[in-house]
Amino acid sequence: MDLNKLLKQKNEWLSGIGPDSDIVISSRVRLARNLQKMPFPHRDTTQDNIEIMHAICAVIKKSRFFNKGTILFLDSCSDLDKQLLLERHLISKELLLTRAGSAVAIDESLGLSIMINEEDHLRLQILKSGFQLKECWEILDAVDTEIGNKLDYAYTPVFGYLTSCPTNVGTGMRASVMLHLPGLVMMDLINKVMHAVIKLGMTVRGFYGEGSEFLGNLFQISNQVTLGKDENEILSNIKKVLDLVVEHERNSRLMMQSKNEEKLRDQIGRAYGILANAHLISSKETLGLLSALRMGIDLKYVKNINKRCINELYIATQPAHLQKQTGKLLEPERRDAIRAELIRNYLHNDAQKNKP
Amino acid sequence: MLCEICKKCEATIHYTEIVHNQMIKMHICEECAKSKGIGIQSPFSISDLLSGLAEVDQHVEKAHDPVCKGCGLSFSHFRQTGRLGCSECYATFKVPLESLLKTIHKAAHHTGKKYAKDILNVPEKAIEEEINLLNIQLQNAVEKEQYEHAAQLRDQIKALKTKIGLP
Repeated sequence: MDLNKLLKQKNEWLSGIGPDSDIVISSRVRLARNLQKMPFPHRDTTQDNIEIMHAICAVIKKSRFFNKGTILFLDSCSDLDKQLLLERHLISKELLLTRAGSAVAIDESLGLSIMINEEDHLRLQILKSGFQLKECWEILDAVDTEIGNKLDYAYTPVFGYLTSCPTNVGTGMRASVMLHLPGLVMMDLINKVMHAVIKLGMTVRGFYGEGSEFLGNLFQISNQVTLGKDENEILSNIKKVLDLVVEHERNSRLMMQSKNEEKLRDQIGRAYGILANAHLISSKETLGLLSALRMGIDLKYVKNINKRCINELYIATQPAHLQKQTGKLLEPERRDAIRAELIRNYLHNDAQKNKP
Repeated sequence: MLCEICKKCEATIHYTEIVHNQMIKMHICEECAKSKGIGIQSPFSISDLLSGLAEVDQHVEKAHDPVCKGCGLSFSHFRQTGRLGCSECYATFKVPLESLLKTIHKAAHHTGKKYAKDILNVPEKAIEEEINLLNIQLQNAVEKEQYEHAAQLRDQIKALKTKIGLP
C-alpha cells in the first residue's frame, strides 16, 4: 500500500466513539512473541534478522487477518515515512532505529499491526477507540493463535512466552489506555492521582509512549506486571484503576464548572478562537488548545465540532503528517503556517457539516 | 558521590522509591532527575532496577559469570543491558532470573494463555490419541489419492512419534 493512501484512510481508533470516550481516547493491547532457538533481534546478525523477517512475513501474508493488509520493510522506508508510521502509532520509537531486517504488517482498518524484529521477533498490537480493552484482546488472541500455530514460539510452561526483556515475560501482554485528563491537570490533582496509579502497579507515559512528554493533557496508563496473572486479570486490574481515574476526572470537571464556570467557558472559547483563526501555530500550542476544545465538546459548550475531528487533528498536525501532505520537507516556521491552515480548514469543514 | 545514572555529574538528589515492596535508593544528578521526570513519571527502568538489586548478587559469585550456550550472553552483560539474548537464556540463568522476576512481577510462574503447540506440556496419552487421529486422516487421504496432504500428515505423525520416543 502506498503511504499516501494510508494518510487519507480513516483510523477507526480515532473515531471518538466507544465507552467512556469523553476521557478514554483509545485502548491498545500488544503481545510480545519470539521464535524458538533463534537469538532475540538485538543479538542476531543482520542476515539472521532478514531471514527471520521473511519467514514471519510469509506466515502473516497467509493470515486471514491481513489478507487486505500491507507489509512495509523499514529499511526501504524514508525517514519521513517512518516518522509518519510512528505518528500513526503503527510502529514504535525503537523500530525507527533498527537496522535492516525489520518490518511492519498493517491490516486494512489500520487498527491491527505486527512489528517484526523490534525488541522481540514479533510485537502484535491492536488499537480501538474509547475503552475497549476486552474487545482488543479478543481479536488479538485470535490473531496470535493463528500465527502461533504456523511459527514455533519460544515458550515454557513455567515462564510462559519468553521475551527479550524480563519485564515482558509470561503473557507478553501490555494493555494501555490513552486518557485525556484536563480536569485533573487544571485542578492540580494530577500528581496525586498518577502517584496512586503507579502505586497500584501501573505505568504512566505520554502520548507517544516511553520517554515522551505529557503534552495536551494526554496520559497513557498500562500494566506493569506480565507474569503470574492471566490476560483477563491484567485487563480487569486496569479497568479498576481506570474507573478511579475516570471518576476523579469527571469530579474535577464538575468542580470547575460549579466553582467558576465563566472562567472555564472563557478558556475553552479562547482556545477555539485561536485554533479557528491562527495563522502560525506550533505543535505544542496546538496540543494544549485542542485539549481545551475537546473538553468544551465533552461539556457541551461547543456543539458544532465533532470529537473525531479533534482526535484526527492530534495526528494530522504532527510534523511528518504535515510534510507528507504537502509533499516536501518543511522548515519549522513553514510547518507552523501549514499546521494553522490545516486546523482552520478542519474546524471550518466540521462546523459546516454539523450545522443544525 | 557521582550520579548513578550518568555516572558523570555530582549526585544531588537522593531518592527512595518503592517498587513492588522493594525499597530502592537512587543517588542521581539534577539533569537525570529531570529526564526521568521524577514526580509523576513511571518507576525506574529494568537496568536501573538490576543495578540496585543486591538480591540478585547472592546467586552469582563474583568469580563465576555464567554464559548462555545458546547465544553467548554472559550474566554480567545481561545485568548491564537488562536484555536477554535468546530463549535458552531463561534456562541458563534460571535461578537468578527467578528472584529477579519475583521482584518485578511478584510472581515467577506463568498463569496466562497456554501455547497450543507446546507439546512438552501435553501428556503422552494425548499425543498418542493425536497420532491415532492423524493415522485415520492419513488413510483417508491415501484412499482419496490426496498424496500431498498425505505426505504432510505422515511428517506430522513422524514428528509426534519422535517427541514421545516411539519408533
